[in-house]
Amino acid sequence: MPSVRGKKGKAATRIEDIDTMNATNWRTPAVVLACGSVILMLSLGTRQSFGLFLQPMSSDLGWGRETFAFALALQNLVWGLAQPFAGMIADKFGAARILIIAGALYTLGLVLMAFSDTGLAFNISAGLLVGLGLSGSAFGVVMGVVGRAFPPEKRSMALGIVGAGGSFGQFIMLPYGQVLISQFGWLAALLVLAVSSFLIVPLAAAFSGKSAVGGRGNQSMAEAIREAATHRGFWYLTAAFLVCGFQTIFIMVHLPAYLVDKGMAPVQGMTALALIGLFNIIGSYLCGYLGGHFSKKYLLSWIYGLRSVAILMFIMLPVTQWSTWVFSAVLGLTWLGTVPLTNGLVAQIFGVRYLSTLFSISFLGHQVGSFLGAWYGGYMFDATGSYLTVWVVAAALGVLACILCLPINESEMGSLPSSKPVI
Amino acid sequence: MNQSLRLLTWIFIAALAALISYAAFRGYLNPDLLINFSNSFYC
Repeated sequence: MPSVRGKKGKAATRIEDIDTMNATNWRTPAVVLACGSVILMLSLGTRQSFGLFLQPMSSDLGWGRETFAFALALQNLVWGLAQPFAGMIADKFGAARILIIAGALYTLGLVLMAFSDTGLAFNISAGLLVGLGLSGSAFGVVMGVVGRAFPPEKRSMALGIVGAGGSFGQFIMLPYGQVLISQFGWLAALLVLAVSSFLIVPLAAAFSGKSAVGGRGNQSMAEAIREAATHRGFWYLTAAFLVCGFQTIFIMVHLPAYLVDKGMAPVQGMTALALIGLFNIIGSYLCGYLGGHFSKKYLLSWIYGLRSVAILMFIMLPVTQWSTWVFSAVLGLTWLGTVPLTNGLVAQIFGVRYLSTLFSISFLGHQVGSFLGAWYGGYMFDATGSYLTVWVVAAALGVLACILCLPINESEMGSLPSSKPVI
Repeated sequence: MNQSLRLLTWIFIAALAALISYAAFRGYLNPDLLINFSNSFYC
């Protein structure tokens, strides 16, 4: 695509920055969006069902629960650490290559999971291989391409739709995994999941070709990372994303137990998680849509603020069925809505050329928060016999994230003086 | 694609999404998942 830079100005250039994958071939933005949604559905959804295998696998193989839990913790760590590198490879050599490798690793990891009979083998399959597979097939890589495939005015909504695809996968794959285990046993269930996750490989065809988007002044990847590193707003965004990881994983892991502690039946814990999953689909799309019409930083600020208010009201009011449902619905609406907005804001400020790389660095913050949320919840409960402190910390962090988003300068970097760091 | 076909497609997709969502929601509340619920979620 010939560049119009210099003829129509920077704003026009960004509109022209739509990937090469439009009009000239079958890889239209709509196809990229559909394939990206299914890829996210498979990669995030399959992972969501792993917890169901803990009990039957540990029981059959004579493992302690720690063996299984350690492999899953390792998976998240590998995912977070490998994500920036996966983003860099996607930006430099094309997303399809990394998606094919990731899809193959994910599938191989699931197959080897089924035949792992030692803790080490399980750490390599479920921990290392699936973690690497996730890093190349989840948000960072997929959203980078989707972000490039759409013009700025439609980008946020597109990111919301693809995020909703991931949310839908997370929602439906858990009962799907349970049905597979119930009907065929855990070993066959893992093999079926391996086959379904292999679909990522052919779907990657929609992402082939390197990004044709020019960086600002032929900016290199190292320059783009340096530019982001000197932008305070990027760090505020990453810190807020860390809070997102902390809050969501703490609630996902510990809410059912908290409800039982408060005298609710286990069915309420499952209803709460199902409601979060259902409203998450709506929230992801809605946040993406709103991001196309309103300031993304203010929307993020509202999301973190709303979460804090919801958490405080939930712990201050008596826990009832209705309060749990309302809390779950509000949480669900704000759950992964942060992802299209954070991704969209990175694209808006730094451009889309290195979107996968820069968003993946932010996402590493999210994963650190996830680790802390899951661990700190359990640690504080063991230490104090209550989740109250963690709820308060989660609400306080939400207020902090709400404030951190406000001073972010949403202006495109090229339009700012480059001599000094900007907020 | 004409307007009515487009509308029909959207209605079909919405109905399918509603059906899957309903089935999934019911799936969360089935006895197998309820028994295993404490194992089902992790970071």
